[in-house]
Amino acid sequence: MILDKDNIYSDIEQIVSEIGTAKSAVIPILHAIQKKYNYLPEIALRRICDTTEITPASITGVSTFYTQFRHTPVGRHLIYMCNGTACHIKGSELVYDAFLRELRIKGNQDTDPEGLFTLQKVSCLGCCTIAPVVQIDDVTYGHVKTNSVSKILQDFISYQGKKVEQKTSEKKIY
Amino acid sequence: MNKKHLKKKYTEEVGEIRIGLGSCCVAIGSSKVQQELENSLVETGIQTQVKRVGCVGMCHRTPLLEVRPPNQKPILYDKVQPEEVKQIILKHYKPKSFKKRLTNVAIGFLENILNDNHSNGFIHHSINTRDPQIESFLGRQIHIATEYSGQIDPLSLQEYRSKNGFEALKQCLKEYSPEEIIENIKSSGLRGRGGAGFPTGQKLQIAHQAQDEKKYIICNGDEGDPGAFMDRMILESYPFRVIEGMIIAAFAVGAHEGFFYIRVEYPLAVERVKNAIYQCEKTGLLGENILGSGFSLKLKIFEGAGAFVCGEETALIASIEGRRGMPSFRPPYPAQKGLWGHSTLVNNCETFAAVPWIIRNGAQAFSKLGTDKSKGTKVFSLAGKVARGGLIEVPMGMTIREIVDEIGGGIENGRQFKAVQIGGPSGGCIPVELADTKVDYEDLTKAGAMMGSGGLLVMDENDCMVDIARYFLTFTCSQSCGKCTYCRIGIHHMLTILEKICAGKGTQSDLQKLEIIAHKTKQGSLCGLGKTAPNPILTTLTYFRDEYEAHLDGICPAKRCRDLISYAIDDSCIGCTICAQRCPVNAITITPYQKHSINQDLCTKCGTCKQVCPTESVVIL
Repeated sequence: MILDKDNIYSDIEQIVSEIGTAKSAVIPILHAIQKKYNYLPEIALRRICDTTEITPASITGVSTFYTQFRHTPVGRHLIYMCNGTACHIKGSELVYDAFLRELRIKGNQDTDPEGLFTLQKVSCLGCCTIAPVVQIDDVTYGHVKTNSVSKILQDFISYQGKKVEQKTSEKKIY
Repeated sequence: MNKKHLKKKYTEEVGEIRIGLGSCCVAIGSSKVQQELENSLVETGIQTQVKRVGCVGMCHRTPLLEVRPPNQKPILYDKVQPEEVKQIILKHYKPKSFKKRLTNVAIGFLENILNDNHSNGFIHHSINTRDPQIESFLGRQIHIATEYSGQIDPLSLQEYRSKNGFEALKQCLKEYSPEEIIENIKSSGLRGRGGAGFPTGQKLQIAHQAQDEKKYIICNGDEGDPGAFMDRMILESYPFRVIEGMIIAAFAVGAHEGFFYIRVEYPLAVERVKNAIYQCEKTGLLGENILGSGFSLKLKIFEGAGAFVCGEETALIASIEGRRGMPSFRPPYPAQKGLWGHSTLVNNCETFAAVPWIIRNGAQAFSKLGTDKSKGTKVFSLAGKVARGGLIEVPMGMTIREIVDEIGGGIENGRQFKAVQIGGPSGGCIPVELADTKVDYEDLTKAGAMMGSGGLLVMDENDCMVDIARYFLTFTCSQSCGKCTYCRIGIHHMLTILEKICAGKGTQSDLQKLEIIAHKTKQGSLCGLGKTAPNPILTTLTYFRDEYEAHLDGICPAKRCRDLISYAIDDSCIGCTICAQRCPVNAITITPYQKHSINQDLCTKCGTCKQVCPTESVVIL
């Protein structure tokens, strides 16, 4: 996604007008920005400081404290690997490694070379009875095994294809 | 009015089909089943009502479909696959018109001829509540916070009201004074369900007595414990009950503004609570002058941002105020001086969910259940290596063994029950020898664990206790807010030692060091996170010291710690080459019809070969 300064500014204006300019609005505002861009672009954060009561210190402090917030861009889709206790004892570590291999993510990176998927560990998705659990964007997969990783990725991609098809066919009707 | 009446009559006539749509159910494929169900109904022209219900609790059997034909006994189908749906409905309902019936028969006949898959007929899993397994799963449970589980549509206000919903609120607003409500809750013996077990009535009293012109109420749904999901289930499945409990509590303390603090990782819970608040506002159950009583309350949702420490009430308040979620010193308690310096009542959502039940059925009925000091019931998320996992609600005083064996059906795959981890990262591991410990705030603390928010994780012989301690420490280390030195540095230091032990490089003095730091961290930390973070280490050190000692000798008895194990293939190998094909690092050479072997220099111990081997010939040494 190419970020255009003017576009960001108008997005920020809209977000701030919806949520407010008070100091306490910082977490909801950060959520809104991240929802829009999938991460927190620096230029957007600076704009927030300029247009609200929120200080740069507060925004840096808060956005680095909470694990949900990201400061670097991510791939098109986000893979959340559940690292809850139930998932851990059922071998989520091995599944995580399998995703790294399958997506050819190397070293300290978290995104595949094509920029399609970003892999992230989360503390718990709350679906403990179907552990190990993986969530890709809004689709959740349970009972994941190391050898079902490639199948899951394929299933997700075909599901995305269907979603796009549905959307275009809906448009055609109207 | 007329319209409503008609609709009800219509419902009775056609029966209904219930489908469980909690997050877990959806993940396993319930939404696909629902889609198929709706398609089939349109296709066959069958008239019935499809009702989405909240969590049934039987997560091990999802997707669940309950068919309730008119004037017949309800039948529950478990593990329903989308392709079975049509046949299930046709078993209970006849298509409306003769033409449709005929086409259905014809199509079914042709499908059977053309499609081999159908030749065996479909395997349906109809079960009823008299099934011994279901009976033992549900039989000993008592539903208070999860009343009407699996029976009501989470977002149907009409249905909630038809099941005594908001009756307790009406009663409170019209008949009781705030003091009477507080007295009622006090005598019920209800204690905070978030973990520490502070008496709810007392908390209400403190907030009630606070001289403050502005008061707040907060529902704590920031369930950060890995391995626990009851807050999510309660918010997803019973949003109206939690709201009702909150209004009653707000009325008792005199708060007019409130927040739902929900983890952002629970999008469905956020969506449903939002919807429920909207419906309540529309019908005068929230907002100004609730039910004509003159009392008003405004509720908002605040989404957390992924910090475990925010489950602690002072940290949660800091987070709503837009600061880093760092706990502060108590007293003053939030009930005296909380959000923006005003008196604030913070309670877990399960606590709020129990309040309407207590008002409706009386404090006596609630205090009759449970033990001396722990009254009522507790919701647990039963997961791990147990045969029947799910969301359960049991009376306090039940033993852990009863929960695991009777409700959970013992350990899956017939392995040995080793321990339960209760209370998440703040709790501890209770070994099988102590499985007769009762579910009770005091008894669990005595055993070194903690009620916590109610995660109950069952472990079998294949789980390494040192690894579990290391796992929890990794979690608490990353979640420590950094305010207290012992928590920030102590936990990190303990983690380093545990990693050393897991790698087989530990020494005897490391175990002593662990104990010393653990006790110091307990003493030197301000909030629950640091105070309880050493619990997983201390309990495993007490109950499973032999495992630690084995690690010092370079052996992991559970064969779990990667640095201490290696994979090998035994003589039962049939040479099918599957492992060699799947090995991601080519550590196995393809030798068809001959015994394979693993090149240890290349092996990354990913475990894939063990998973794919059809003859279970891959062993861990």
